[in-house]
Amino acid sequence: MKLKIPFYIIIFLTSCMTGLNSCKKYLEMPAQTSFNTDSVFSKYQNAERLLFDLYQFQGRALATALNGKLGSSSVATITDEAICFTAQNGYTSNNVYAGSVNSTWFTVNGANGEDVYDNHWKTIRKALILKDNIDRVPDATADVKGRIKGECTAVIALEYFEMFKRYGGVPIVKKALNDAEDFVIPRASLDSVYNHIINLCDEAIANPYFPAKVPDEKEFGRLTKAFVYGLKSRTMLYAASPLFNSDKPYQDFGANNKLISFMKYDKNLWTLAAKSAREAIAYAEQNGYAIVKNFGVTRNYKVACEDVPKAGNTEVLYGTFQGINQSKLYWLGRGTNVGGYAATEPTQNHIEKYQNTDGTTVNWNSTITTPVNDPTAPYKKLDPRFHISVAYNGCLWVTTNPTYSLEIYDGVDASVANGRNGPISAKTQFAYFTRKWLNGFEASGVWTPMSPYMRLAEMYLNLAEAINEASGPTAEAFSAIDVIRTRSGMPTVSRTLDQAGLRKFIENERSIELYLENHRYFDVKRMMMGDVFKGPINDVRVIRQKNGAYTYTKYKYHDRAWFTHWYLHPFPYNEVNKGYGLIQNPGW
Amino acid sequence: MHVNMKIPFKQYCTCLTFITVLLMSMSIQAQKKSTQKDSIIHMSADLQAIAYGKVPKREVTASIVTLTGKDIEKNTVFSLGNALYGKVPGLIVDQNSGEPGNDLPGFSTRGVTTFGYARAPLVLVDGFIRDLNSVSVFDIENISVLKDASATAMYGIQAANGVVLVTTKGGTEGKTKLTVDFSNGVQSPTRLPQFYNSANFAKFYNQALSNDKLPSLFSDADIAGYTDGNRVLYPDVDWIKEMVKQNAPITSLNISASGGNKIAHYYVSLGYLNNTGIYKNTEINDGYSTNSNLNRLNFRSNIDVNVLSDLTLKLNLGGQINDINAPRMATSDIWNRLYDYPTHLFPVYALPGLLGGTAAFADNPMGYINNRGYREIHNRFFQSDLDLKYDAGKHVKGLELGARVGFDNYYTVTDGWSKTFAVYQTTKDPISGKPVVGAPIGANTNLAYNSPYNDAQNRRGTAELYLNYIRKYGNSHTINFLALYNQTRQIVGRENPYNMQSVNAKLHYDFKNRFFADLTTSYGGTETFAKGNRFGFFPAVSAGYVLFDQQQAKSSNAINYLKLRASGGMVGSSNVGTRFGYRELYVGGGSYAFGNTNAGASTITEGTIANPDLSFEKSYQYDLGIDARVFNQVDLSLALFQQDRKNILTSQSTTVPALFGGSLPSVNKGEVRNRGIELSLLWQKQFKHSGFFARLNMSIIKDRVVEMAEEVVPQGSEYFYRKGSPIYYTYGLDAIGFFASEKDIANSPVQIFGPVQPGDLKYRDRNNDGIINNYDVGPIGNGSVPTKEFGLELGFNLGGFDVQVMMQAQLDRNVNLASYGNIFFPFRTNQKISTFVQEPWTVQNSATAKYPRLSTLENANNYRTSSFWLRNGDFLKVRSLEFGYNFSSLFLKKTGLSMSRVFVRGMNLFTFDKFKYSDPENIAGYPTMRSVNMGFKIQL
Repeated sequence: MKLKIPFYIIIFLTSCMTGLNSCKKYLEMPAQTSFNTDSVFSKYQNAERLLFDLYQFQGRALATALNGKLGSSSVATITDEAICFTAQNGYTSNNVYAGSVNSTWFTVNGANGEDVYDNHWKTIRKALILKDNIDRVPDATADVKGRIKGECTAVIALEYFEMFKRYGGVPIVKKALNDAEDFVIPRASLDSVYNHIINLCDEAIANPYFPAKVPDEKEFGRLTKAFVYGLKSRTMLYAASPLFNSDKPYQDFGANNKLISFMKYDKNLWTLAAKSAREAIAYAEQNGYAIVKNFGVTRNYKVACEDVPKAGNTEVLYGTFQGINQSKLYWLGRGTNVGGYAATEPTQNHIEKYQNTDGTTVNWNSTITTPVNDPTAPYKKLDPRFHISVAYNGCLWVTTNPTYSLEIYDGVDASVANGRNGPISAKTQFAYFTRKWLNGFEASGVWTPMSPYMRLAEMYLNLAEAINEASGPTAEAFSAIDVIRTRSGMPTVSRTLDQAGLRKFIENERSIELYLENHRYFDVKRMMMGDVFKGPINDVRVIRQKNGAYTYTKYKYHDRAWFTHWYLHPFPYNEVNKGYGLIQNPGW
Repeated sequence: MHVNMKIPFKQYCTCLTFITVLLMSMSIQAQKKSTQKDSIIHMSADLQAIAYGKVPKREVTASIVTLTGKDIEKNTVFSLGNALYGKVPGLIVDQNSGEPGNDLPGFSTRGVTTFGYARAPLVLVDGFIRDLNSVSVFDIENISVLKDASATAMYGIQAANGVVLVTTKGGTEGKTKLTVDFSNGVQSPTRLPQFYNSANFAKFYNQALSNDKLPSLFSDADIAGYTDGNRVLYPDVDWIKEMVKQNAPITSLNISASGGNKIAHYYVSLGYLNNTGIYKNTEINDGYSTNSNLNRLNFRSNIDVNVLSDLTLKLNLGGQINDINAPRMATSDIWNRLYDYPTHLFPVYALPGLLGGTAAFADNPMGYINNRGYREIHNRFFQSDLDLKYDAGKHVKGLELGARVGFDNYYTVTDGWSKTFAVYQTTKDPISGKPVVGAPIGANTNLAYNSPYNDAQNRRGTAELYLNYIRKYGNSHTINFLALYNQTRQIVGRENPYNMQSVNAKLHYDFKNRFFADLTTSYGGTETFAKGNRFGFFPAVSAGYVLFDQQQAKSSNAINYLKLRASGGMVGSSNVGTRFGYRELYVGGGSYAFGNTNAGASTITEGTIANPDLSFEKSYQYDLGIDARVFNQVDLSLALFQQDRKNILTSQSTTVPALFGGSLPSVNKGEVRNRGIELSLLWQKQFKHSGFFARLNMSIIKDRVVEMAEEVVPQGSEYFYRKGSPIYYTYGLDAIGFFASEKDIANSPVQIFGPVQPGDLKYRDRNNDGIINNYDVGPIGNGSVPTKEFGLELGFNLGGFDVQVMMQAQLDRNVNLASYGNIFFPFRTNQKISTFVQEPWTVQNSATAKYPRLSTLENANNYRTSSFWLRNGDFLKVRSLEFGYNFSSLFLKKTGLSMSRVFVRGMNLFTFDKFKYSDPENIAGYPTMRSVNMGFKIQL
């Protein structure tokens, strides 16, 4: 009996142990089906997909058309260019009008704010990892790897520029961080960030593998050397502008003034900006880019802003199809043939920037009465760029059959029918609709126009501005603007303008040429002209009289809030609260 | 209790071997002295199922509650979980939708214990991990809920959320018993949201437009038209009434046979269930129905055979075939349309046979439910387990060896037929004023077959080896030792297999059948974590002492029986929501468009950074209990407990600087403490021809977040933190009324959510910084998880008649209406206005208004979680009410039956609550059902 007991125990335990041993690997994870750092860089195919991922957040940085910012009301609506439907609470531009902007939302939430601070860092990390590891890819040539490195450098430079213009000095991260101790990096001075961007641009420019232009149309949307030249020009223009190039900051920041200002005025920065704009134009034009001017004066601007290179746009240095909100209804005024949300509509302030093709302007300061049944009379002679950018009462909206004309008016009294798109019928608020990117509008639904981030036209404007500031209104400055104007059928600039006059003229021209392309908000801030955002923001009231004539009366729609501390964005509240030394910008 | 629990697997096994050998040699010593009599173990009839076995209730030292099959059968339910409301103190069951085939309730034991991924208890059917709903209510012998660490430690790494053991019926020696259960009934929704009719809609809409400073849409003539007009031009369609019926039939039939002789016992059953949905006009199509419908066929065959005098074999087989029919479109989309579609826009039919609709509202619910085709969901369960037990008593007294295997398969697939339909808009001819039907919007197509999709083939295989040894030493000491090895592999579709491995042991000690102690351990692991963190050691100890019992107490004593018990231990939860998180990972990113078209290029992106330290959650559980019987008629059971859940995964993103740029993994740092008291009282008395019973179950449980990563908020806003509050506590703004005027707005703190007008919600500036923003969000009230739960069951019989009622109440719970915007926020995208909206704010009623000003637009200021939208969600529901008659034995004798009963039973008949608008447990979506059933039970 004694023998039997151990026997059973042994049987049980042996079987237990056998179970364990035979299944020694029972709890090991099966072969990994997903990638790790080693496997992802073992094939060029994967590395390329990592590269594409760098652009993930760029879609949001691009032109207003599609970026879905500010509750879809877009950045243009917080400038004097445009306005959003003010009864629509979800359009957070309304908060900006009311002055209730703070660090809890403005740079936190991509859908509601103007920026997502975190996303810049996410992209920088991705680019650093890719740049550091691309040499490990066995099946790619040095050319291909070199190009990817150039592209990574360009992406990092672009991200720093996007932060530079919004926040001033930010931390500088030079490698992909892994250790918690490395995470504590203070804000660098404005100066250092500026130099860092210029160094990155120079590094990308010096890269022999980085192409001037995408070698294949299918790659349109990837960064190129021509873009980096442009980015350098833009960075230098911003650096030379009064917001940063000053011996005192826009708002005193005490010991931290260097984070938001160069703290010395350096006129030479304008000279450098002019030089870099000149280089950008020369480089682009040597490499096949050109101002679009072969489509006729009424169409050149449309091709330059909305079309892809394949369709003849030789001017776009960086643009994309990527969109966040692809419903064009956001751009439509309410009550059109397919509805609309009136998220971004032009203001009367913007309309008044356009000149007639003979160089004169329309006088909006008294009521305009049109001839009988001629609603478009005030607009007929305006800049062709106006007709591409703005839809107005009486314009042909849908150009294809069946056509559709806008009737943005109310009847003078009950005996005159209200226009179908007017305030009463369509429950709308403004007399203008956005047309840019909607030209040839046909039906609702998904809509993906090309959305430009940088066009060669901007380089000419940068050049003119920088020269004017560095050496006054020279012939080079005037002719740079003429390039932009003449291709749209506008007369050349009057050579009699003095420096201040030309400055004003260039600012106006930028607003027209770069309408809705996300420039105005930052241009006004770098020029320290924030007060123009205060308004008054005007609209026009259109009334059809009994005889069929129309009256156009400008009226003040509203005033808006503007504060000095708004010159730079706030860092997200919760980011500052993490307590690792991120100093909040003054006033926030 | 902060012991390092990381013992290598092999050392643990060696240790167990040592203990086993030691016990065996002790037993040999004991054997020599013992007499034959000793081997007779006292087995009370009142056995309780515990982890891997059954013991007399008296000997149980852990916190376990058992329900018998009889308790369960008295419910007409289609998912077993729905039979458990209020039945077990500390088992919280939350009712969901009543949709056929999709009515599983939510579960948790002892309240909320973690904010981690898995919160539901582990369910075992006949000892194997299985779906609670894979078993028919008629096949259940008993259900045990294991609540403390001592009860669950055998399931170690999976036990932290509690364990539910379901045991199916077996046969007993004796004559064959044939039982037939049949019931048939009708069901209807308990409560449905109500909306205003067209005329009221128009009035309110105009009011909202005027608030938005927009011109009116409806003229007085329109409103008059909607009040009593031509319903073609002025429709008034109550879509819910149009599409939802009040009498959907349900049928249940179950036939079982059981019996056995000395060699074999068996229980076999076959069941059929039919549960019909509540959609109307679903039979208008030739050859098919679009109504929701569940047809279930299930069987069970449990056989145990004494193969040899010392070798028994037990084979359990069970299966279920569910065929679910449903409208083609998703249930949530259907209900959203029923709630959203305006009453005034178009009639159901523009002309006979032509559905009404507009371009913006093209999903006419009549067509959406009935003319889009249908879905068929087929799922099948198959379960099998085999237990081979060898009584080695002739070699070593009290020794039993066994092996068990279980193999289950679950398969589900959806297919069906789909089509589209056209709608027609009716407009008024401007000249004649007559209605004109426009061109079709959309197109009527023919049915097209949808190839099978959503298919998943899940399998689970489990193997166990065990050794059980019972020994009595002298007259006072008995030990029972159980050691068990378990290995489980689960395959879920194309996921990597889930593997588990464990060695478990339990030592039970009994001193004079008066003092009992248990030591339970498990050493188990899963492949989810890195080597080194894979295995955990889970120990628990418990003891019980019977102070009084029948023999001791005099008959005059008030207390007839009294037992005290206490337990403490640590168990784990390995289902942390992420697998293989210890390895670095690159994953697919979003696509990005390059080139000339908007065609996206696929991308790869760095995934969450690896966390090699990832490990399981640990729950430290302590329990004190009293079981008593007083005045010879009242049984009482009381438990006090505390559970400290540690190692809960919690995010790091709230503390790491954004400039890092990567996605940091969660870490095992969260902690929750949960405490409670559970009480169960049973008072029963039997007289000569009558009897009654009353059972009260009660639990009061409160949890509190001890540690959780949270966004850092500035000084003065500390109320923002969830630390210190229950996990599901509702956080929001504190609404203090409506803005009375522009002046009031100007004098109040700025609310940054959007421009405000008089009549909008005004919030309290908690941190007094002059701005109302997200940092003014703080605790505003309980969430939907109750703190107090009660179950009250009453019954009496008089002669053959009996009445039984089961009530359940949940208190200290709230419903957050801001989560159901399409019902409670009117007009936003032209949808309806519900009758919940009463006395909306206007300038005239500004002092007495009960709802913010109406708006036709989105209103980010009003439509967010605040105390205004948090409403009392307490309820008491009469879950079941049954009248029955058992035929007299005289009658039975004549017919040869052994039992015969007829009954009428109502389920969810009444709800008492303060919310009133819709069912407080299931506010929107497919509603909860109430049913009335008649049936019989015959036993031959």
